[in-house]
Parts: sequence; structure tokens; C-alpha cells
Amino acid sequence: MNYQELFPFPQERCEEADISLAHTVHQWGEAELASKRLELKEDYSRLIEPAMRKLLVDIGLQKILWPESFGGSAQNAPEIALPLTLALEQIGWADVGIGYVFASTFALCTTFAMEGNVQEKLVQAYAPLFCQSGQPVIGALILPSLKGKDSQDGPSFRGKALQARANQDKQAWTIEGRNMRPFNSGSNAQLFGVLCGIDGESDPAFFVVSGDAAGIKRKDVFLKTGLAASLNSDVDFDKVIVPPENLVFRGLQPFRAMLSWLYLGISATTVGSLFAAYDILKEWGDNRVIKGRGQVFKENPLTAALMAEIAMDILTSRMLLYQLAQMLAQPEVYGGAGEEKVFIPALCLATYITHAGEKAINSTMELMASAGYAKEWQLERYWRDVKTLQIHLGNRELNKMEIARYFYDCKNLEGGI
Amino acid sequence: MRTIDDFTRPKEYLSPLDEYLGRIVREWAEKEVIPYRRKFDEDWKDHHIIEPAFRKLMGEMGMQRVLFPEDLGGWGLGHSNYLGTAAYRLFEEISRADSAMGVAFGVVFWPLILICCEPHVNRRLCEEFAPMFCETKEAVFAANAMTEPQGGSDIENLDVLGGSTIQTTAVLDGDEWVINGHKLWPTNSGGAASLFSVVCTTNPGSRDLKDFAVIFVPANTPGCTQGSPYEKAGMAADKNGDIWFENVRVPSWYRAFGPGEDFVYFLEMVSLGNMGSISFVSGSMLNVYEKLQEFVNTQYFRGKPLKEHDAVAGVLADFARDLEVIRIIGYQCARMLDRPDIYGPRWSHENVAKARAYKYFACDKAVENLGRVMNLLETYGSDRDWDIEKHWRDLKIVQLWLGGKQLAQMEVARWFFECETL
Repeated sequence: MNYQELFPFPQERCEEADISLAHTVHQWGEAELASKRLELKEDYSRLIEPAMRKLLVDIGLQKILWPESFGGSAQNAPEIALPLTLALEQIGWADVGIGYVFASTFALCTTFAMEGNVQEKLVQAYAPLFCQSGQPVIGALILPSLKGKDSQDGPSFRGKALQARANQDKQAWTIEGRNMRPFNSGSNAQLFGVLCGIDGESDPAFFVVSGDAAGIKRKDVFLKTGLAASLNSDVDFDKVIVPPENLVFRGLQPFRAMLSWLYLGISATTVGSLFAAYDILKEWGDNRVIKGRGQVFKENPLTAALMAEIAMDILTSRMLLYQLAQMLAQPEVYGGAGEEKVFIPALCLATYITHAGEKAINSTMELMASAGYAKEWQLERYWRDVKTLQIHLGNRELNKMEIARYFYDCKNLEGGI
Repeated sequence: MRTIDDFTRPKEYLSPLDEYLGRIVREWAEKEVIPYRRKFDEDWKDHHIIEPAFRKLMGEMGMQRVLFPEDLGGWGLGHSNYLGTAAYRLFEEISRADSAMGVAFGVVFWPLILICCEPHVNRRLCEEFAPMFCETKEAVFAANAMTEPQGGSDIENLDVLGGSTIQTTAVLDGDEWVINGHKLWPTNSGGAASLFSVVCTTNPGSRDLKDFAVIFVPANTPGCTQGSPYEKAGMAADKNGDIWFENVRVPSWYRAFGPGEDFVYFLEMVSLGNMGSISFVSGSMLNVYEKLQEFVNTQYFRGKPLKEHDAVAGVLADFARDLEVIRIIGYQCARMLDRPDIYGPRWSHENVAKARAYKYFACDKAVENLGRVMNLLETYGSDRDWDIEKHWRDLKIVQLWLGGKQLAQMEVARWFFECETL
């Protein structure tokens, strides 16, 4: 299906090479995942690692941010937002979990490899891992979280508990954290991005930590609703020592910049999953005969009305997604990714798109009845994945406080981001 | 602290068995199901973990016997005027632990309703099948084989299609029915069921409801084959699969009633199936309430428990409101089916339409609420250890069965607005 024509987006903003990359990623998804639907149902874990390797290493998606001198593509200007979006749509179409893992890793790396943020020592330290190791590289984010009462004595950031604490001793930093819940991939990340509290200081600090650092203990992978490609587990940092250059930033604005990129990734992956849901429903609507009169499913006015709503959700979500991509791609027009005037719209758009995604796939399942929840038809996987993706935006009610405060100039509201 | 027992039920409607059933089933759920249910998803095919809990409830505690007359070893619920409300409490308590167990248990009674319930008891068939359920400590399952490859809701859509799309045939050969056909998806298929009620036609393509037949088939009858269970998004304790009937022969008196009557009492199954579905919803939501209480009391934001944040409290209020309403509606529906002397026959179009309306209201609200609740928990919302995501997956499935929402909408509109061509 040519989604470019069916669900339009501002093509004039994209280079031919960007469209070509999306095409390549689509072919990857078709060959590695979509054509192996039934095998995927039986043995997801066996198929997913080679698929990630082909995407990230062979096609080279994980090299895009890094300098050419290391073998990267040197696409670390904000304009990467558009090709990134095109590619993530197609990854999401094939597998939402892979899309999410890649989006999280990308967001982490923007903090020190994106134009304007470049930190040479860190680039030199980590570019070879992404460009030369021949392995898929996964970055995991450990961000502020809701926690129990006993955490209230520890450091917090905008109302939520910081999961780790950092202390400087001579030149190095020591990071401590127990039972930390990463956003993704706690069990197999080669890189962590951790927002840490520092005693006596109000601003937290964001550190990049190598996954093989001494003192990192990973617990068992826990079972969750979806995003199976993210093998998540709680993590302990037991006196993990990192050099001073691994402190990437302090303060709210760069933190929000990273989140804006993450929101773009989540939104693009969601739209990709809607394409997959569309494909499945299209096949169902074309072929299912109802009422024993030879009436094709899609020709029934009641079901067609719901199908129309689903199409509207996909179309609108895609339009909004590309608006978000353009905002991040053009800081000279809209402001930097961490500025409130960009971050809040990014949060709004990601919330809207993921909500529309949940609604559209819920409705698609409704139309397909038992085929909707049978694993054989794959739709239920996208349904679980999209919901899991959505909740990684955080508590929606708390997020709304950020939005209300911005648009209505509220003085006392704070939403934890 | 408030508990699940603070949600309202119409106390004047409750069955005399309510307190007893509620207590023993809750104890069973706490001991036999809740400690193990996080492993159920991986046990979907073999039921190694699930089966002992069924055995305890259905065989040892004897719950699979409740519908049969007392003189045949049952509890006589089919002769009572509290069938609906007693069943509601039972199903709700089971579903609080696991709604798939709720439906697997509830569907045992689906075929049996036809033969065990007043005013249409089929004594001969009761006597025939009572030993299967009443003289064993093993869990024994029954299933209603209705859906076919070409459609499920079409078969339920009897007002419009009159059974004309049914492909499974029953031909009378002497004093035996010969059944041929292929069924899909019934709860308790996939190798679980020992007894089927099979929806068939005695005259393929006919719209005459006298040709609509429900015939009982023991699963071990030659020619009856069950396929492996399907893998689904949730509801692991409920097995579903294919069933093939190839020249299956059963005695002629295994037909539930006869021409015309099978259709009438089949509608009663639809009413009760919808009522049962509401109980699965409220049971699951009661457990979500418990888990949510734990989360919002123990997780902090800005130095206070999450529940003390006004915007979060708004979501909690909506959840409590909808659970309160769903539970009251569920018991009202059960009451309507208990008392045909007040509300008319359980199989009336009015009761079918209203039960469908209540069910799809409950399901829509449940799906909406659980989605919002998962968001409150942030990343813990998708964590199996919090159990809420399990109920979210399971209740989505409840929303989609029994012909799905669109069929329900048409039946409700047809009855309330007297539509003639829908």
C-alpha cells in the first residue's frame, strides 16, 4: 500500500533520499517480519535479534548521528527529524517494539551527538560502538518515576522521584540507584542515560553510562503487555563510577529536548503501527462476507462508518506527526527542541497521536471480533504494543498539568516533566 | 480503607445463596487462583497450572452441579427464581481473580440452561447428562458450538437471517440425528469440553426458524473432533478451537426441544450470555479497583499519594462511577432474568435487546476506563505484576464476543426504535 498517497504528508519537505530510506526500511520490514508473521507468533525472540541487526547494522540506521570519520552518516543536524520520521513509520509498521527501542536509543544519543549538543569526548567514546562494533546497540533511559513513600526523602525532580543519585569524588562521579525501572531494555542495553539527583543541588544531572560498567546489576526481564523487543528489567547501580565527561547536561531544557525527540519517535512508531492495522483491516474488509447475502464487510454502512473514523484517525495522526517533525527540524523557525514552545506542543501532539492510535486499533479490533484478538491475525500485537508505547509518555493526567500551565499560565501546577 | 464490598448491589434482589457463594468462591479465588494467575498466559495451551483450580471449584466444591435438579445430584438452581442473581455473584467473584475462568465456568451452564431451567426442563436430557457433571470430582466442561468459519454474529442475527447462513446440518436418519459441519471459537473447545450443544439447521438455507436446531453431542461421540486451542491476546484459561462434526450420530431425543422451540430457548442463552458478560466485567473491574487502591495510595507525586492529586482523582472518580453503575446494571439484568413473572420471559426480544444494551455499555466503559487506569500507572501499567494489564486484555475480548458491538447496536435499535429493515 502506498501510504504516501493514501495518507498524505508534506512530501515537499522531504528529500528523495529520505523517501528512499523509508522504502528500504519497508522492504526490511516485509522481508524480516511481515512475511514471517506466523513464525513470529511462534518464536518472536529468535527472529527479532537478526531483524534488528539487519536494520541497525546492515542498513545502518544506528550510524546516522555519528561522524563520517567513524563510519557514520553524519546526519546529526535537526533536519534528521524528517527522514527519522519516515523510517520510524516503517519500523513501527513492521514491529512497534523495535521502533520504540530505536527511538529511545536515538533520543538518548541526541543529548551528546546532535548538532548544538556535540560533546566530542563522548562522541569519540561511543561512535565506534554504533558504527564499528557490528552489533545492534541499544540505549536505555532511566528517568524520574512515581515511587513509594520511602523514596520521598530522596532526590526528586518536578514532583517525581529521581531513581539514581550521583556524587562527585575527585574527578569521577559515583552513581547509586536501587530497583530502577528503565523506560526500555534494562536487561540488554549497552548504554544507559540516567537522570540523577545530586545532594544539595536542585538541578539533576544526566549521565551516559556504559552498560558494561562495574557495579551495574540487571534483574530478570519482567513480563509486560507489549513491546517485546524491549527486554526490560529493573536495574541496580551499585557505586558505578563514570568519568566527568559522561555528565552530559544539567537542567530542564536539555532534558526536555531529549524528550521531544523521544516523543517524535513514539509518535512516528505509533503512526507506523496504524498503517499495519489499516493493512489488516483492509484485507478483512475486502474479503469478509457478512449477512449471508454476499455483502462484503466494508460495504455495510455501520461497519463502514467505523472504518471511516479509523481512517480519519490515521490521516490526522500522520499530518500532526509531520508537523511535529518539522518543528524539530527547524529550530530557527520554531525554537529549540527543549524550549517550552516546542516541548509542550511535542507533548500535546504525542499525546494526541498515541490516544488516536489506541482508539483506532481498539475500533479495528471491534470490527474484526475474534480475529481481532486471535494472535494469528497479528492485530492484537499492535494493540498491545501501541498501548504500551502510549503509557511511556507518562501519567496522562500529570502531563496535562504541563499543558494547562503552558497554555493558561497556571502558577502552581506542575506535571513531572 | 474502602473495599470492593462498598460498591453497591441491589440488596433486595440478592439470592438466598449470595453470601455463601460469595464467601466460598472468594476464598477459593484467593487461595487457588490469585497467587498463580500471572503464569496463566504461558499456560494457555496445556492448562497445567490452571486445571487444578478448575478441579477444586467445579469438581470438588461441586459448582458444576448447581443447575441440575437436586434429585439428580444438583443444587436445583434451575428450578429457583434466583438463577440470574446467584450466577452473577458466582461469575463476578471468579472473574475478580480471572475472567477467563469466569467465562469457562459460566459457559458450562450455557447448554445446560436449555434443559435444566424452568419452565422448559427437559427431564430426559437432564437425567442423561447429570451423571457426567454430578458424579465426578473432576472439572467437566460444556460448550455451545455456534460460530462457523463464515461467521458468528450472522448465526446470532436470527431476526434478520433466520438461521439461513448456518452450514452445520442435522439430518434425521431413523431415530438418530446425523450431524456434519465445522464450528469455531466456542468457549471450552480446544479439547476442554465433554459436551456440546450444537447449533445446526435441518434444512440448509431455510429462514424458517422451525429448521433451527440445537442438538446435544457428547465430545467423545465418533466423528466429533476438537482441534488445538488458539492463542489469543488474553483469556488463557478459556480454550477456543475448531470442532469438526463428520457424520456424528446421536439419538433423536438429544435435540433440545423441537421445531420452533429450539430457537425460542436459544434466545434465552443470548440473554444469559450477555448478563454473564457483565458479571465478568464488574468482577474484573473490582480487582482493578483493588490494585488501583494499592497503587494510588503507595505511589507518590510531589510528596503526596497519587490519589491526592486532583486530576488523578478525576480519573479515579470516573472509574468508581462506572464500576458502580455497571454493577447495578448487571444485577438489574440478572433480576430481570430471575423474574419472568415481572419482566417477561428470558427469551423475549425485549430482554435480549436490553441485555445486549447493558453488556455493550459495560464493555465500552470498561475498555475506556482500563485504558485510562493503565496510563495512571505509567510504565507499571504494562507490567504484569500489577495485574491491571491482564484485565485490560481480557475485557477487550469480552467486548468483542457474542456477535460484537455492531450486532448489539442493531438489536438494540431494532427493539427500541422498531426498525424494520436493519
